[in-house]
Amino acid sequence: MNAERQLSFACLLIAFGGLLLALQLDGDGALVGTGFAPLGIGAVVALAATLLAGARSNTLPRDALDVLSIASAFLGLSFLVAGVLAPGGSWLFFEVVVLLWLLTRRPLEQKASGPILAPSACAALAVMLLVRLWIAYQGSENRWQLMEISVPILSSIPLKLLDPIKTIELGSFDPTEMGLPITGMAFGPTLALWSSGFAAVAGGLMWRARAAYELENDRIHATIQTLPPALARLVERLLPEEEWKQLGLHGLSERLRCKKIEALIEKEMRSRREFENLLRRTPLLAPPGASEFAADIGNAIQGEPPADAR
Amino acid sequence: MGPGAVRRWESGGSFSCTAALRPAPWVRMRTPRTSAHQRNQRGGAVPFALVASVAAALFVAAILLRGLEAPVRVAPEQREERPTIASPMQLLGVSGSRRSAELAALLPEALRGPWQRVQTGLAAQQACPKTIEWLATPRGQELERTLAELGRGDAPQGLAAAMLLVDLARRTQWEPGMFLGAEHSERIGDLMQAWLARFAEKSADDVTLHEPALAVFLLYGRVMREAYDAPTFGRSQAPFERARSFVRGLCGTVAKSQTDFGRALQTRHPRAYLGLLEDDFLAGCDEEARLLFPDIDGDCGK
Repeated sequence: MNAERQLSFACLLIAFGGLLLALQLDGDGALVGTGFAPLGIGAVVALAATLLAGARSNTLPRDALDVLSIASAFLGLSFLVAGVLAPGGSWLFFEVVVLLWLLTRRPLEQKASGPILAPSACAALAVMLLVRLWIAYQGSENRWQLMEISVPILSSIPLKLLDPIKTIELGSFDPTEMGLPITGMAFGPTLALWSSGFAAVAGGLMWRARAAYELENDRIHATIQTLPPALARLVERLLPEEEWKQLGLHGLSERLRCKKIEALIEKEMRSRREFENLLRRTPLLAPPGASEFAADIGNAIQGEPPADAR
Repeated sequence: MGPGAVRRWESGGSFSCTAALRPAPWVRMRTPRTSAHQRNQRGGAVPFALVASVAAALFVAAILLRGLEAPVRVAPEQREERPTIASPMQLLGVSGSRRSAELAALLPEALRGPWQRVQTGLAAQQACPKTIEWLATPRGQELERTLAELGRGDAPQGLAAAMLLVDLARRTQWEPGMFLGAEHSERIGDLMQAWLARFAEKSADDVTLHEPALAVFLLYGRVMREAYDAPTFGRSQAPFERARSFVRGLCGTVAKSQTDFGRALQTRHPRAYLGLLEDDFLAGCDEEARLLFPDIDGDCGK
C-alpha cells in the first residue's frame, strides 16, 4: 500500500474513532452524545498543538489529500483530548495544562504539518482515559466520589451515631459535572465504545504522521527522479533521504522544492569543493620526528591503515 | 526549474565534486511521473474522492452526534391515557374511604363484598390494635384472604389491595417500642412485599398503578426500616437482609440491569433510589414516606 493510500485510511480510522468517542449508552440502553463542551476544550488544546507544530515551518497543504490529512490530525487530537478529559471539576484545569505541555513540547527540528502524537503524550492520554473510565464507572454505580476509605476501627462499631465519620470520601463529583446521562450510564458498552475509539484515534494519528512523512519523501523522491538516472542517484547520495525533513524539503510546492534542492546541492558541493582544495594544499605526510598520533591521522586521511595495524 | 520541467544532464564521463557545479545546458522538458494519488484520483482501486467523502461524513457525524439527546422518559401519568379510576392516589389518603364505592364498582362481584367489609372495618377502627393481633381477628383473616385474591387480578384489584395495605398501616400499631417488638412492622412489610412482587414491575407502565406502587414501596421502606432498626444497638439482621435482597431484585440496583420499576423510582423519587445503594439503604424511602403519608406513624397518629 503506497503512502497516499495509507494516509487516506489513517484519516478514515481517525474519523471512525472520533465517532465512537462521541457516543455513550445511557441507563435505558439508548445512544447519547458525549456533549460539545469537552470537544470545545479538546479543540483549543489541539489548536495550540497545531499552531506550535506549524511555528517556524513553511509547510502548507498542497492538495486535497494534504488538507484531509491536516484536518484529520486536528480533529483527531480534539476528539482524543475530549475523550479523556473529565468534563468538569477542578481537575479539568490541571488536565488541560498537562495536555498542553505534553502536546506542544517538541524539538524544533520536529516541526511538521499538523500536530503529532508522540508516544509519551499517547501514554499520558491513556492514563487520563483510565481515570475518566474509573470516574464513569463510579458514576454508573451511583457512587459520586473517586474512592471511599473506611476508617479502620470506627467503621466496625455498629452505632448509627458514628455513620458520618466511619468513611472518608475522596474526590467527590456529581452527575451534571461529569456529563453523565440523566438516566445513568451503561458502563460496559460505553467502556467498549470509548476504549475502541481511543485506540482508533491514537492509532490513526500515529499512522497518519508516519504516512504523511513517507508521502513527503515520495514527493521529493519523485522530483529527484525527474532528473536523468545518474544525476538523480548522485543527488540522493548528496542529500540522504533520512535528512530531507531536517533540510526543510517537506511540505514545499513543486517549484519551491526544486529551488530548495538546487540550493542544497550548491551548498553541499561548495563545501565539498572547499574541502577538496584544502585537501590538495595540505601536506599529508607527517614530518620526520612527528608523534605517532600525527602519523596515524595523516594515514587515515590518505586512506591507509594506522602504523600499528600494519 | 518550473513545475514538471526536467533538465537532462549531458556532462558525461566520470563525476567529480567540482564537475558537478559546471553549468549544464537544458535541452528538453519532460513530464514528471504520475503519482499514485493522481492515479487514484482517476479511478484506482479505492478512489481518493470516495475515501475523502466517507472520512468527511464520519467527521461530521462524530461532531453532530455529540449533541444527541437521550429520548425523554414518558411516565405513565404524563400520557394522554386516562387511569381506570381518576386520581388513584386519593384512595391511599386519609379520606380514601370516601371514594371506596368507585373502586368497588371496578372489582369482580365475588371480591366486592369482602373488600368492602374489610375496608369499612379498617376505616372504622378506633382502638389502634397491634397489627398481628388485628390480623388474627376474623376481619383480619378476611383481609389476608382478600389480599391473596386481589393479587391475582388486574390494576383496579391491585389498587384495591394497596388501599387495604395502606389502611392497615394507618389503623394498626406496628411501631417498635420498648415493650413492642418489630414483629408487627415485619408482618406489614411481608404483606407489602407480596403486593410489590405482584404489581410493582408492571406498574411502571400502568397509568392506574404507577404512583400507588411507588407510594407502597416507600411505605414498605419505612415499615421495614423500623423493623431492622428496632434494636438500640446494631440492627436486626433478618428483616434487613430480607428487605435488601428483595429491593435489589425489584429495582435492579445490583444486577446492573435496572428494572422498569427501579427506573420509575429513580425518576420520581431520586433520593429514595440513591439511598438504596447506601448501607442504611431504606433511609431515603423512610424519609419520602414520612412526607407522603405524614399520618402513618405506626401508632395510628396518636
